[in-house]
Amino acid sequence: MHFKLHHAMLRVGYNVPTLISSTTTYSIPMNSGNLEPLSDEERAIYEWQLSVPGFGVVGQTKLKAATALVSRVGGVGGLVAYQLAAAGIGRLILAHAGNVKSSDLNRQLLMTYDWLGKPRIESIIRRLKELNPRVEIVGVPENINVDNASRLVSQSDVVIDCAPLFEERFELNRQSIVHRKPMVECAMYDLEAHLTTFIPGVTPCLACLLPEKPPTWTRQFPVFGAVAGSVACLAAMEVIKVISGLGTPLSGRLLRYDLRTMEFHRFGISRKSDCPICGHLEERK
Amino acid sequence: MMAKIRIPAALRAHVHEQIYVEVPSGTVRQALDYLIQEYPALTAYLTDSGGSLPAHVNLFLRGHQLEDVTVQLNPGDELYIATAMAGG
Repeated sequence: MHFKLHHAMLRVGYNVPTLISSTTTYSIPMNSGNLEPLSDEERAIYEWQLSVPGFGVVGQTKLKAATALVSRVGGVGGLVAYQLAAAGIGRLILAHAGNVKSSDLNRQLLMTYDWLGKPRIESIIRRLKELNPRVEIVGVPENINVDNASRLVSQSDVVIDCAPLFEERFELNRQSIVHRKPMVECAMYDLEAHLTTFIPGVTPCLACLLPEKPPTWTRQFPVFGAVAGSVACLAAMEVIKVISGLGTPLSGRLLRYDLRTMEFHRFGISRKSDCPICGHLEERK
Repeated sequence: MMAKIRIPAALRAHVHEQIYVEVPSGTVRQALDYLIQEYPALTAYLTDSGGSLPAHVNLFLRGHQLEDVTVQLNPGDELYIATAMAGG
């Protein structure tokens, strides 16, 4: 993995050992010479984003060559996958078990009314293929677990953590560290949401930030689809940035916002040297 | 001007749906103790079996993650309590 860090870690005040500068960039390594070129149809479809400064044909070509794993493709993950498919990612590995339920439909926009009672993953693939038939989709009718996580993460360039259960989140985090894959972490509750991008050996991991499951967490919680969709769109942009090298990922920083008051906060977060998951990794710069 | 604590959505039911609660000057620990004293239902969420802040609750102050609760809160400071959240 190639890191392009333009600034050294910052040393700041009380109890904040290391932070990454807000001008730090990062991108997954790809040999541009080996990338499949864009077709005329792809150039036409992505015309509006090809003109984004810092992205261009090279960024689009990297996106086309990349694989993203989305853990749960519901209220958050569904919109992450939708935006990535629209943007022209080459391959999506999507993990989501179960059948479509009525209570999915307020926020899980890849599930449809006509698919109630049928496998979610089928609805997900159908909707994404309607949008972008060029994207390769690996549909996994399972949630992330100890038996499939390593295999799925190892096949990906970047993983996106969107699951409702902390057991799934912790396993995805564990494997993202094992396989040294960046993990975009996104979550919501009520009208609040948070987002950060974990880069193994550079930033904290999920276990640094959240070493244990909150005992009061419940599978069902209050949320609007628009809240889930807001953090999903931001997460998709993080994925595009990490793959293409565009802009500045939200690495070493946590965005938390509250759509009830439209307050947005960005906080520096630090690696924990005693973290049982990533503490053994040598710091990478 | 007093310091204030920002209450996450998950805990607002226990503070009469307030988003901010003002606290007297003192350390972060004292501010948390004051909050729990005023709203005892928060004890289960902000205190572990040893009386410390649970590991799944993060604090942020002046733009940074905070681990030392002996830090002094200045007037106008905003202590941000972040409870864990997931997707769905």
